Amino acid sequence: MTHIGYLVAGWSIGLGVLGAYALSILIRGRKLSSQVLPKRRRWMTSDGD
Amino acid sequence: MAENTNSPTSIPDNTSSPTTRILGWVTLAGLALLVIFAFFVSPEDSRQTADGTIIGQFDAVRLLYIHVPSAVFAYVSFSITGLGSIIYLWRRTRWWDHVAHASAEIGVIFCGITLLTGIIWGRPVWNTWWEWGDVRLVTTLLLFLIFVGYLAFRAVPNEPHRQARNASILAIVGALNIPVVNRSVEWWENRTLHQRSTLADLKIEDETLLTLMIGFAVFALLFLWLLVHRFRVAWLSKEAAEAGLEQALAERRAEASSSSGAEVSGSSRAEASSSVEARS
Repeated sequence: MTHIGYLVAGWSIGLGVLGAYALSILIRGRKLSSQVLPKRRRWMTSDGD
Repeated sequence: MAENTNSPTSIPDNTSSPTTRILGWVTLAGLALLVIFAFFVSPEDSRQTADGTIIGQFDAVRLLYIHVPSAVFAYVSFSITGLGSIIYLWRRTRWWDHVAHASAEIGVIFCGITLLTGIIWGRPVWNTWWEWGDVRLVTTLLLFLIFVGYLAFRAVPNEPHRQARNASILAIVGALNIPVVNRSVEWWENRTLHQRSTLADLKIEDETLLTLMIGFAVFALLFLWLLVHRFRVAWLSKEAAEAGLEQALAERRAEASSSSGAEVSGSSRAEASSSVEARS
């Protein structure tokens, strides 16, 4: 296989950034959820706009 | 999305739901499949010229299976941000503002990956990391920076509706750059290293085309998963801010009522002591 270093770098950065971002969203959601009443945690169950 | 609306107490203290969990696992399986197809099923890009020389991208073509879907879903994300912003300005509902905000953040991630994987791909194929004269590269960088600015603007504390209105205007201006980025290789054909769309011209086929299609499908699932979760984070952020404000107001009212009560009792004591002094 040619250009193996470029392939590893490109795919690692791409998947790594996506994984880290997905994880950060889950962590942010968990932290914020604990500060909000259950009935207001979702747009569909909240009486907000 | 499939929450039990009759039983709010069953809502978990995170952004997941049964549907998003299934979507998440399917997306992870899809990403694994994409890696297998990109590295082991699809062929390298090489062809023989008339004089017998073998040319092509060789294995560097495998970077395009992450680069092209990222680019397409960066466009999709920023388009949704632009659309959400227009609807917000029209209807003034926070829901659309949250959709626009969530989609912009995901778009910045996809656009960043597009730029990084493109830089890495360009070195072996074009023999350069970056070319300032290439209109596709420069307009993509501009698109990325506009939406980084959008996110920075949104991070500054401000009155929510005023911030949403100004951010919406910025997003619409930014989204106008999407057709420029997309069409730049046709409009300025002589000022780009990028080739015209190989998909539209049907220049790729078989396993290469199949792998690219798998990439689009997987990135569509990933985008959907990220959008639902990021929207829920935006919603929770608003609710937490409002809950914090309500609590602060309640504390302030309690403080005010207790201090006014203390003032009343203080003035009563003063009146009582003055009447005692008068009698003596």
